[in-house]
Order: sequence, then structure tokens, then C-alpha cells
Amino acid sequence: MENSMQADIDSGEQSTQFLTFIMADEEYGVEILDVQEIRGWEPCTEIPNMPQYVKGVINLRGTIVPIVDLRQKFGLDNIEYSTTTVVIVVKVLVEDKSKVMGLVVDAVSDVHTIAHSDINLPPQLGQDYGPSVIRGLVSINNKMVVLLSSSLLLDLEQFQNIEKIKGHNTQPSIVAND
Amino acid sequence: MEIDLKQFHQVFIEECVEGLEVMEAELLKLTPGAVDNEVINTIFRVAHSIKGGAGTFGFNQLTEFTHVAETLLDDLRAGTLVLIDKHISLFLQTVDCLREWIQLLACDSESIPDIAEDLKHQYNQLLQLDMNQPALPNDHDISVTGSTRLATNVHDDGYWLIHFIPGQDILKQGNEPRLIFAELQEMGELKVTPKIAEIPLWEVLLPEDIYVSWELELISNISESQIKEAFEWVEDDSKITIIHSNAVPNLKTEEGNTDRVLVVPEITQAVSKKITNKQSTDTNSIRVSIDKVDALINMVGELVITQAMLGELGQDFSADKLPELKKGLIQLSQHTREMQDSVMKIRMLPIQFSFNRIPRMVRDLSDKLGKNVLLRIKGEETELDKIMLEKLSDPLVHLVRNALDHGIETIEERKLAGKSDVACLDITAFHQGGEIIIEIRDDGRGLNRAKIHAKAIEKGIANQDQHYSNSQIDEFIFAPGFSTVDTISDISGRGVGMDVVKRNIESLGGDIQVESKDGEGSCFSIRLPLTLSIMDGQLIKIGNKTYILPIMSIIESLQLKDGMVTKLADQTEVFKLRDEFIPIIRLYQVLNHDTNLERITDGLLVVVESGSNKYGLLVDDLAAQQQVVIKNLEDNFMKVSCVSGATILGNGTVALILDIADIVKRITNERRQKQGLRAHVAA
Amino acid sequence: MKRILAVDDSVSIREMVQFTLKQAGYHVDSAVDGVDGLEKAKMGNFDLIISDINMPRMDGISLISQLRNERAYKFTPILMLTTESGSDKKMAGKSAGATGWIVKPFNPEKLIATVQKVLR
Repeated sequence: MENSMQADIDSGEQSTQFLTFIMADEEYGVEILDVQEIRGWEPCTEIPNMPQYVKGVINLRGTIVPIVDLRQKFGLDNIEYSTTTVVIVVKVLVEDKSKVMGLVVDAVSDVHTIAHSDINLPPQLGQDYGPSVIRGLVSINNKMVVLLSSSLLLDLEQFQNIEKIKGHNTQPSIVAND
Repeated sequence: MEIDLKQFHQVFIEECVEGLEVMEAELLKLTPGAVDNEVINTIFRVAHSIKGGAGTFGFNQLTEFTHVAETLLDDLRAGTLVLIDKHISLFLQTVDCLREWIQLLACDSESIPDIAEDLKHQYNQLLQLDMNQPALPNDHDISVTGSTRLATNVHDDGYWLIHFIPGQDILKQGNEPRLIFAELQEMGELKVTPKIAEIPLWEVLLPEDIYVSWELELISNISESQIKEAFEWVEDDSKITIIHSNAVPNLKTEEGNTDRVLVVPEITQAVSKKITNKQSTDTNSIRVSIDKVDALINMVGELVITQAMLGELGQDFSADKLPELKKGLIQLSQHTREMQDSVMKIRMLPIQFSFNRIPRMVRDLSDKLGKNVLLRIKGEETELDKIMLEKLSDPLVHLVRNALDHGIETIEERKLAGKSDVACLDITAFHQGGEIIIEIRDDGRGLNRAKIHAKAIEKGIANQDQHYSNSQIDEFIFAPGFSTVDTISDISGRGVGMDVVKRNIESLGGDIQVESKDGEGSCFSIRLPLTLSIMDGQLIKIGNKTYILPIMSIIESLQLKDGMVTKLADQTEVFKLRDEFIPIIRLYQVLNHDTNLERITDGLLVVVESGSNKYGLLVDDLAAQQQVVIKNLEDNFMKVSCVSGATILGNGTVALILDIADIVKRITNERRQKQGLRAHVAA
Repeated sequence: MKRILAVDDSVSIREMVQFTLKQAGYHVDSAVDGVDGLEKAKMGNFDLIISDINMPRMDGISLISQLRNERAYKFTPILMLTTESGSDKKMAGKSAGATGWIVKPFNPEKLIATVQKVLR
């Protein structure tokens, strides 16, 4: 993975580095500081009675880490896992506790330094699903990148919510978020 | 040299917190009229310690306050005052006040609890009846007896003639005249002349006694009190005369020592009294018994030895050394396992720490409510993990409050019901299988089922037309939003409710159940897994997946034969094991799994025990048994139904450990749902 | 280096005494009550013992008596830490064989100065 940086950032401006990745031809990004490591996909131990996007758990050097398929969570079509399929291991503070989770994505793209002023806030969505995991939208090289909030991604309340949503038979789409 | 005492504040605060707990516990043991001296002494020592520390670390107001309490305690232990109930209440209130005070100190606050003044007043009143009030050493005294030599000497050099006839025993007290003289020497020019006239004959000489006296001549500008200070420790036993003259002769002697070095010591800096400790008393530290640490150290030692042995083997290995290698590896695994056990134990603390608020609470509440309650606690030494301990406190408190508030009747009611005046509240903790069980049992009136039923219907938790068994009604109290308290009593709190208690306990991976008999009492049982432990596990195969069952719960396993299985009306399958009918649970169904079994007789049935019931779990196959380190899923994920934890197998993959009680619960709920009964407990 | 044993049931006092005297260049061990103190004294070789009076299991006065019965500690300086300005405790201490006392509360400088009085 190359580490090309976005060149021009004002010295006085606030910016953050994001790791971008691809799912279904769309680009997404998470804060690089939240990324603990990137692993190839490996089979995991299934957990019974979980929604489909919870693939299971793996042993990450002695810690049990859940693996979530981001495609499925966002309601995108399923694909076969290939050699470029990666798991982005994210570590964030959720309610004072440090949580680690693996996110399965199609492929990793690049690392970009993004100025805060360039980030556009997402459109306000319905209140039903709580705070959106979408942190904002940014344009990189003329391509729209959706920046995600890692801590909200890992927030498990959403799994509970997803269960409820499933019960109502609604496909959660990327826009109307958890 | 300046030493900053701030670094000790945290320790002092922790110490006070612990001391106050001891004090409270001991106070609750006191009964006026039958005073145990040891108890009073312990209480006195705590107050004394707090006072001493407060003074040393500069918390002067605290010192003053604690002083009056200590004075009263001193009188009580000396017997000059007789203990009455009022004293105990006063001391208990003092404990509360001090607790609040310590918290304030911990947050750097200079304020003191409001109640402190009032309590002080009460103490003074009580003490005025008694004349023996030792004075609090105020700053004056400290500076006089505790000061180092001040440099502010306005005198000119004077001549001091000191006759020192030491008490015969001063050597036996460790006093050394030479040291006293050295001290004087620092103050000026000193000439020492020993007088040996009194030394007796050899035969009667006692070598440990002192027979020599001295004449000291000192030229210095210090004051008499300073000279006296040098002799402070021996002056009571010795004869010392000090004569002063302004005429200063020349003191040149052959013994040398004509140093005219006048040491001018610095005025000591006042120790900074600023409290900068920002941590609250909820410390992130553990007290560990030395035994546990020693055991660990021993184990590390053994591990090192084994490792060295293996290292050596590896250096020059050949196939014929294989048996030794195997032996070494077995040893290694043994030691590692022991060490793991040991380390886990370090985080384990006696459940007593969770229980410590309870006696006080019971006493206060029963007074307030006009009930007479005998509290019995058993199994306080049962150990569990520190985090669980902390999270258990609140639910426990709530359950006890409930028992006192709702469960236990007033003395009148009990009399009418033909019960003894004194109600019993038993709290018991013990290990069972790989779990900790905590029972809170009262002999009160039991759950008011009619009221609960009505409330459940009102809240929509229960169906009006349905019939519910007693135990089903009892379970309603754990439903979210359920509370039979019409007014928010400040005792049981704002209808915080059993559902929160249940949720708290479930977040620890445990569960809570209630049993109740009308008019006789209720028993709440909390079950907590010892998740931080190593468990003996039985690997089972369901489909192509491996799961683990705790061996502790397994009674036996068998293969079903045709004709052994009977189906009941509600579709439950049972089989006969000796004289019992045991329900069968097809695990692949519960876990929503594939199975390779075509018929039930192809698989194996593992008979397990959960609670007081037996169940037969259908699995595809049994695999190995092995020791399993339980890792919890909640850390990074959440509590998963039917699963109590996970472990990492030898091949590096994760295997889930099944929670039998949870599986049973899930099945029961599913069955109820199928039968149209509303599940009142979320599966 | 001179060796000191500090005996006090209060953790914070023990730590403060230990820290202060170590800074001043002494080797310091500590004990939590009279029984512990006596054991440690017997096993060690101390030049000075500083002890609190009010302690569980065995109080300071008893400790001092016991220490004076030990050959090694017959003449070793023993200092009492006392908050009680009442002279009866001091007298009791002296009859048990205490060398002297330090009145609580004391500040670190006072502690060091007093120790230096007996350990030159």
C-alpha cells in the first residue's frame, strides 16, 4: 500500500489522515489513527444467531476480535471474498472502553491527509436510526469519498438497532444509516 | 533539603478510606453494656491514625476534628466514660462525615462537610462532662519541642558550665552521652571533662550501667533552653545543672577540638500544605496478599528452570532426547497453567468488599422503617474478579434495600402472622461448578403475586386472559419498566427496578432468579460466571464446527437408541435415564446451525446439569477434553446469547464456549412463544 | 550506610518516613505492627528503630521492652513516634527502654534532625 500524501495543506489548518478503502466501487475512509492493522481475510469462527454481516470472531494474538462485513452491514450486494479482500482492524474508544473490531472490505486504497475545511457534512437523515456513521463527504481527485466515524461503526447499540430494523424487514442502505 | 509530602497524600487518603471501613464495621459490633475492649481499641487506633496522618500531611482542620473524636474514644477505652447508644450513633455519623471529608480532600477541595461543625459541638458537649481532656498539641507546642536550632540568636557568646550526672540506666535506653556532646559541639566550642571518681570497683561494676559524670564547658551564643533540648531525653533520669556566665575564658585543651564552627542552620521551610491530589478515592489499584505474590514468584522461578532445561535440550538435540523433551514440555505446560491460575487469582478479591456497605445500610434502614432485622452474611471469603466485585455492589445494595423495604414486615405484622419479631436476612456466597452463586434470602412476606400480576397486565407485559404459573409471575418483576412502587420512596430509589439489576448482572455474564413463598419469604439468586479462569472443557462437534461445553456441567454422555425417545404434547422430546425423564435439546437448532446428523440416534447425547435440572444436549460428536482459557466476548463485542465466552484452541482458531443455562432459557422462551405466550424475558 | 527500621501501622506514615530517611542517605525497612517489627528486627541488623505507639497486635511500648531483651538491641537507639503529648506515655516508653521520642505531627526535616541526633 503506497503512502502518498495529499500535497497542499495550509500550515495553520486542521487536518486528519484517513485510510481509504473500496466497497462496491465506492470509496470510503476511516481515520488512520484508529486503524490498528490490516490483515488478509481469514476464516473466522461463526457466532450463532447473529445478523449476517457479523461474520464471526478471530484470534488476534490472543484477543477475541469480532469481524464485521461492512458491505453486508451497509446492505450492499454480497461478493465472494478474493485475494484482495482485506480486514481493517479498527481500535476505538467506545464509552471509555477500548474496543477492537475487524471490518471486511473489498480492498484498501490509500492514505490521504484531508483538511477539515474540505469535509462536507452529510445530509441530515431520518431520526429513526440514531447518529449516522457517516462523518462527512470529501472529494479526492474528483472522486467522492465517504468518511466514516470508527467509533460509531463499532458502537454496538447499532447492532441492537439493526436487529430491530431487520424485524421490520427494512434493508439498511448506506444513506439511511444505523 | 525540602521533601514534598504531596506524594503521600494519595496513600493517606486510601488508608483513611480503609480505616473508616474498619471503624464502621467495628462500630456495628458494639453493644452498650457489653463492651469488647479490643473493638474499642481498634476503633481508637483508626481515629488516632487518621489524626496522626492528617497532622503530618498538613490537614489541620481534619486533625482538630478527629482529635475530639479520638479524645472521646480514649476516655471510653480507659473506662472513664461508659459507652451508650448515643456514642455509637455519633461515631457512625462521624464516619460518614469523615468519608465525605476525605473525598473532598481527594479532589483538592478546602471545604469541609457541613455536618462537621455540628458533630464537633456534640463531642464537646459530651466531653465537657468529663474533665480529662488532653490538650491538642497546637502549633506552639510543635515549634517548641520540635524545632531545630533556630539561627535567630541575639545573644553574644556566653560561657556555659554544665554538670551532667547521667542516670545509671541511660545506656540501656540507647542514649549515648557522646552524641549529646556532639550535638552541643555543633553549637559552639566545647570542652569535656569526665569525672571518674564514682566508678566502683571491678567486682561490683555493672558494665551496662554508667558511672561516669561529666563537666562540660561550652562557649556559644545559644540559649539555655537549647542546651536543655540536647539533654531532653535524659533529663528526667539525670541530674543536670547549667550555669551561665558572660565572661568567656579560653578553652584550649590537648584533646584538640577547638572548632569554632558555629553552625547556623537554616530555618526550616514550612512544608507545603497545598493539596494537589486530583485522583478520586476510586483507585485503580489492588491490594494483594503477599501470599499470592509469593506463590507467583515461586512459579516464575520454576518456569525459568524449566525454560533453561528446555533451552539446553534444544542446544544439542538429537532424536534420542525426545522423551526428555516431551517431559520438559509437559512440565512447561503445567507451570504455565499454574502461573496463569495464580495471576488470575491476583485480580480476585474476597466478595466481602462488595458486602461491606450492607451491615450499615441494614442497621440504618431497619431503624428508619421500624423493623428488626438480623443480618447474616456467609461466604465473605469467596473470591471473584475485581471488576465483578465493583459492578456487583450496586445490584446487591438494591436487592437488600428491596428486601428491607418490601419483603420484610414490620414487627407488628410479624407478630400478627405468628412470626418472630426479628426478621432474618441471609446473604450467602459460594462457588458452584465454574460459577459464583450469591443468595439473598429473607423470611418476610414473599412476593406479592396479586399485585405483580395486576401491574404486569397494566404495563402490558402480561396478557389478561392468560394463566401464569407462580414462577412466571415472579419473573415479571425483572421486566423493563416494571415497578410496583407507586410513590418514589427514597429507600428503594426511583423505581430503579429489578430490570436494571438484572441487566447489570447480565452484563457480567451472569443471571438472577427469584424464588418466593407466600408469607414465608423470598430468595434471590445471582449467578456469576468465573469468566476469568481456566476451565476444563469438552470439545463437541456440531456440523463441522467445534464448540465447548464446561466439563463441570456434564454428568455423562450416551448414544440414543431407537425407542428411547418420547415426544411430549408440546413437542419436547424426552428420554428416560434410569428413573428420570430428561428433555432433549438439539443444539444445532438452538444455534441455528447445520448438522450432519440424519437421525437422532446418529449423534451423541451429552447429559448436563443446569440449576437443579438435567438436560440432554444433542451433538454430532465428542472430541477431545482440554483445559481452556476463558476469554470473554464482551470486551470487544457483546454478550451473545447461549455463549458464555470463547477460547483459543491449540490450532489458533477460536471456539465458542456454550452457556447451558442460557440455552435452556432460550429454548424455554421459544417454546412459550410458539404456544402463544408472550415472552416476558427477552431471549 | 546506617540501617533504620520504621514500625507504624499507618501506611502513609511508613511511606513518608521511609522516603524521607532514604533521601537523607539511610537504608530503611518498615514493619506494620509490633509483632512484625520484632521479627524484622531479629532478622535484620538495625542501627536505629523508630516505632509508633498505638498499633494492633503488639503496641510500641511492648515492642520496645521486647527489643531491649534482645542482645543485639540492648543499646540500640529506639525512638517513639507519639502524638500523645501526655507525659505518661513518654514515661511508659522510657521505662520500657526508649531512647527518645518524636512528637507527631512532625515534618520531614524534624525527623531527619532527630535521627541525626542518635545516629552520628
